[in-house]
Amino acid sequence: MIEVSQTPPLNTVQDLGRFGYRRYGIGSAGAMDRLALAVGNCALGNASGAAGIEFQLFPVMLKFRVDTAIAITGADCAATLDSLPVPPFWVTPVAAGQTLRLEAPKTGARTYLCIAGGIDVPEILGSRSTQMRDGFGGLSGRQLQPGDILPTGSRPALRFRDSFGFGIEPPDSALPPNAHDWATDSDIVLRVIAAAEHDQFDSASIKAFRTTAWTITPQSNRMGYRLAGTSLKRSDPTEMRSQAIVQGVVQVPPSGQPIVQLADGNSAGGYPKLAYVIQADLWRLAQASPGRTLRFALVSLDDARRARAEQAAYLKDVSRMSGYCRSQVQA
Amino acid sequence: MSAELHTIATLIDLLRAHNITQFEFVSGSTQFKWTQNPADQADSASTERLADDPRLTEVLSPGVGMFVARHPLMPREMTAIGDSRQRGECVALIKIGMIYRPVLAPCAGKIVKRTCRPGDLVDYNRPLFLMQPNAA
Repeated sequence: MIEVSQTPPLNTVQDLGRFGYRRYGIGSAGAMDRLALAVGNCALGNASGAAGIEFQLFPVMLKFRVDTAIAITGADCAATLDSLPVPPFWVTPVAAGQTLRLEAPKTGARTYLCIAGGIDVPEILGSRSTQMRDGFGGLSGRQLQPGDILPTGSRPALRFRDSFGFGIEPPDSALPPNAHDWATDSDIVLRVIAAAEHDQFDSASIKAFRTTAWTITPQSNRMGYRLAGTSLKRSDPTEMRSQAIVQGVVQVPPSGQPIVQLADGNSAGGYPKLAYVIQADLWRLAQASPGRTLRFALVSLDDARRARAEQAAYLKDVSRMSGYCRSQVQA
Repeated sequence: MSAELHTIATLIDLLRAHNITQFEFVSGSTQFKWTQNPADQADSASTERLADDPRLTEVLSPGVGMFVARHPLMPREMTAIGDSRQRGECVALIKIGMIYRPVLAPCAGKIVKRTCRPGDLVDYNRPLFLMQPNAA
């Protein structure tokens, strides 16, 4: 069990998401940076979809009530375990009574805590993710509060090769960076595929979308990111009927400033869809804070599949190599 | 551009790992030249002198791998000369494939010397730092 000693709002229990219920208007929820959650779970030997905690606001203080093992992934939040600094993307044993502190990250937006056996809250509609808008899933359908006790799943104890645990290569350095002809080193490049209404936009708008920088505005959260940049226009701005939408879709409302729908996004919407951020790049967006600039690189469906395969290979490598650093203690 | 930097960084790591001190590549209009700072090489003699000092404690590699001074997500190296460290604190990393093993301070004290360079391939028990333990 984990005791939440200190937490600001908006920190929640999340797994990889709730799928199959969009037709009823129920969004997927789930971790914004699903890759960070999955790699933490893989390193611990959990199922990749085990529930963990997503931290968006800091500082946070957690106290462990049992001996267990944890993985801290996502943004580097200068974690300390009983005052000993813990590097980012780190897997370590923890003893009952130890305290973990997380501070606001200097780069990146979200940090994840995975725990051996996962966070054991009830599974609702096939997921343990907190669905904040509808108030279910996670811990009583709400964000974490000081004083909360989080149950953890049972798991055989782990023995570590090094007493301090081990680190895993972060996706930022393990996966090849995305290329874009006009991107600066500080830009985040996201690969997109064209969406249904892509060809309805005028050529100047399509060119601007692919070549110019887009700034993430402060009106951005788990529902979606609003971007600021060149105003995008359709040649024939006829109003559309609402259609099903998914995480990663880039919609363009009448203001001409795009919105990217994310984990807590709507299940349907009537704005024209210009592109989809490929699933393999959503983690890059999840770690981007307001003020960061984005560039969009149009790729093919085959490129998107290759990117997904690269990510799967990364998770498999981490799983395999983590096995050399920790083993299950036989009962 | 960022993809090229990534490739160049990887190349420099490889050159260091194989003790190559100079490298030049020319292809068409592309030219790349790299020379290792001679100060890095001169360090080895002073290291040997320091290692003989009985007041100092060696920080040893936990296994075979590549010595990493800066975590890829951290803005600076994990340990600088003159830093004080607690016993059991992670001062650097040893990289093997996708995994990093921690290099831990064996005692509380001050780091006085780093005895290998980032990118070096190191063996088990190879001294990586020298520490001045705190007075008991």
